[in-house]
Amino acid sequence: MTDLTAMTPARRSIVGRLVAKDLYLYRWLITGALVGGVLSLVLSHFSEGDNVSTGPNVGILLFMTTIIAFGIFVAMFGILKERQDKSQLFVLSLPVSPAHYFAAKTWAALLAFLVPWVVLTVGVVALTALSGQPQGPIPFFVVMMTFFLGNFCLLLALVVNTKSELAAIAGVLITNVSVTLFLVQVGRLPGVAEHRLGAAAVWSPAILTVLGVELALILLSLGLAFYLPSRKKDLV
Amino acid sequence: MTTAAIELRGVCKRYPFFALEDVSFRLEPGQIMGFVGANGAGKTTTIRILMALVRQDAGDVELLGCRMPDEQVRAKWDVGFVSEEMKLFGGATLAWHLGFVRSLFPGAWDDRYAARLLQRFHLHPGQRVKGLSRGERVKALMLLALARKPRLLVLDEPTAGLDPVARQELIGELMEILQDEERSILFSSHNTLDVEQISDQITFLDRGRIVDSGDKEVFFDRWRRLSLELPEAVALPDVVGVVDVARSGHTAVVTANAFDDELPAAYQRAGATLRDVQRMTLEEIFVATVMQKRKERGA
Repeated sequence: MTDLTAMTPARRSIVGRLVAKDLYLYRWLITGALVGGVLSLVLSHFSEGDNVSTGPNVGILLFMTTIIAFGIFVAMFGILKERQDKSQLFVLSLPVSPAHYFAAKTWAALLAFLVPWVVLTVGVVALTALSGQPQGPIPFFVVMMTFFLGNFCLLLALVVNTKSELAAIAGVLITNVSVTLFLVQVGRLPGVAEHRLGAAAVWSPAILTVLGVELALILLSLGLAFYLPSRKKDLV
Repeated sequence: MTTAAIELRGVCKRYPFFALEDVSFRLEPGQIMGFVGANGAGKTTTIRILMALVRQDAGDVELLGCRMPDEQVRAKWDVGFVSEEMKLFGGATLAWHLGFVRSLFPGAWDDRYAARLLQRFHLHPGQRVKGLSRGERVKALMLLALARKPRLLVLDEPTAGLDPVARQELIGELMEILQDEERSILFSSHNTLDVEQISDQITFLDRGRIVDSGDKEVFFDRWRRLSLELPEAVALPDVVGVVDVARSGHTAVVTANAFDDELPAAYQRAGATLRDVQRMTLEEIFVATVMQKRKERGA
């Protein structure tokens, strides 16, 4: 794995600048995801009494689509496209090693994803907790958001390590299909299903187990994203 | 012995349908080497190995005394690399790119030089990169590489795909910029006219092998094309340094790669009449060299 602590200040500064460069290039994507996420949450709070009966369903669907699409955009356009349109060559002409380059790409993509992810997750949990509404949905919502983060990290590891657009598209399709399966299967789990609409948030062993598996998937994916590219012999 | 700007020793790289075989050459500090080869000869593969974008299967590569790819970060502080296929970030402006590269090379970046190049290249800092023409894009890349004052410039087909005016403009500007510089340059191209104008050393590459390498003037001095008129019964003698004889009726055209005064004299002694001795262009020399080597290899 790239040992960032072993880098000299100059090298660390270059990786930092590469990360800052990517975050600057992602700035409109991040803003779009934040705006899209907030708008979809507002929509999800409408109800029949507001004459927007489909509001909650459309809002939640739009919310999930925003998060998933944002992850795909960051991975595909930030990493795969940079390789395809050869701006990667420009960055690699600078004093960076492949390990530094891919570490910077992974950190930047992860940070870019985490900005709206953290804001929206913390925002929803905090607003639900403070609004006096039933808090039963909170654990499932956290598990769902963590699943989206895991899916993004998995896609990130794939895109960083493959040169094949086909493999990346297959990764997008598989992670997208997995969302429906996840929501249906985990939503039915004993220890999850009975508390989802309850008044209090219940962090059952089932919920904690799912969270643990998701965190393990995230760590494994990030490990692959950081470690494998440094072993690449040919970058183009 | 001084540290070479570039040194390759026995470099090999194998792909399923192409192999770079035993590539060796040396570029001394301050020299400009034209790296000439047809499309698919292996120029880009060689340069990718030089820039550590691709790892060689065998052989040693050194850039400014740094072993590649292991010491690539140290080497790349002093190397500017521009390639025909390289792109900048389309959504960002040229000014942003200038700021980005300046922030990476705070000690080396020369603001005044960058401003002068912007003016010379007719580039506008506020323009988005995706709005630049191909020629402007190459100039922008060149500016970003030059303004950080690298000791070595590696240019991979920078003029490819440019219209003749843009190409000449770029070469002219490059020559002017480099006149009083002590930079080493490796300039790869399949366009011999560009290479002829800019280089003082020439290396020819064909089908993954170096076929000749040396001083440009020495190339021009030793290559000649002789036109001879021959009486019917006269057979041309075998002369060392002749790579091709094209005979048609009473005339013959002889191509020689080791021309000296003895060569026409040898033919005249055999009964031929010398009609003309022509210097050859770099393109003619390149084609003759490649054809000769392919014949030797039995291709």
